[in-house]
Amino acid sequence: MWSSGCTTNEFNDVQHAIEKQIQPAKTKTYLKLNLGPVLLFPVKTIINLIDTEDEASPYLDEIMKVQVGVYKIKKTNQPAELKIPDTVKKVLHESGWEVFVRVREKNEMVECYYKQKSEDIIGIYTIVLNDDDLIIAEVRGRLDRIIEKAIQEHGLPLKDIF
Amino acid sequence: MKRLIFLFIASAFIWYSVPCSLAQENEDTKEAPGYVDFENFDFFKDIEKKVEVSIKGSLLRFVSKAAEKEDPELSRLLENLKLIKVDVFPMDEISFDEVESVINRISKELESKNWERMVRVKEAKQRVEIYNQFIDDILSGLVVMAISDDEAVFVNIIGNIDPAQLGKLGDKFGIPKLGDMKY
Repeated sequence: MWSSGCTTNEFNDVQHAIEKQIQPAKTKTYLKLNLGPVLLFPVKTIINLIDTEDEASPYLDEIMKVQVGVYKIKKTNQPAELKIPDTVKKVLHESGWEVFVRVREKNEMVECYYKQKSEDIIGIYTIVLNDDDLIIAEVRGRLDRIIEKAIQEHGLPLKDIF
Repeated sequence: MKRLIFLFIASAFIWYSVPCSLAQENEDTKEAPGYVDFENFDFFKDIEKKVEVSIKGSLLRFVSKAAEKEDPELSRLLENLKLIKVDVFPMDEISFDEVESVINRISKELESKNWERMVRVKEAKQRVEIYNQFIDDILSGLVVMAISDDEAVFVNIIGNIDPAQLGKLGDKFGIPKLGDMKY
């Protein structure tokens, strides 16, 4: 549907590992987005101009990189095992990502990873796989500050997190 | 040019150190009192988990900070913890007896390491065991093992645990029987 920029090798490795696992089902790219510092700069500038009430701009300032891939699952008549393979955990672990939540329901799987630099959380990586979609998302930046700002302004519904 | 080379080496060093800090944190967690390595038991390697939560170190401090204004008590509790680990297994592919035998083996190992049993519930289709470990009068480790009709839950919490706040922790993370605990 829409794509911008090239996704990183690590991102592609994760996508390919899942595609291999779910065969004979196939994926079709619905949205692919990779905004690094260079591409984020004009986005931030435009949002700064239109966001007169400063609702989004303070959050965007803390984001360094966003990668999102949304893929539609196209099943065939043959049965497919819709599953995030363990190799994904291995690939991400080798790049310094640590898993903190893994949920494997019958029709949906979710894996969340984080990356830290000294004491700070600098990245969150999320993979969602269900009967219809595969979603891979990576956000990098000063995530502590984003959360802090969000809580200051909107509070935090803890029940939704846990 | 020299500056560029210096910057390249410095950035390479910084990025190399990221996984190291995580690895160091993992090592620290494994050596901390109250830690139980469930993965030593084949059951945890062979059976696929339905839910796996492992919140430790920096991530716990991150969540603690996030909860600071909304729920200061929970924030203080989380700040002093080192690990919250929850493994949930679906009971549709494993038998009650199989999980019960794992619980028995873990219980035996905990008791041999001077853990104290706080709760035992043994019913036809339910089993709960809660163990704790005090070090210098501080509750440093907690293990919850529970089987119900649809799932088996294994929990390990380590750090400086405030017993008065256990119920709150149980409610927030959906840990069975913790809410009923009275110290």
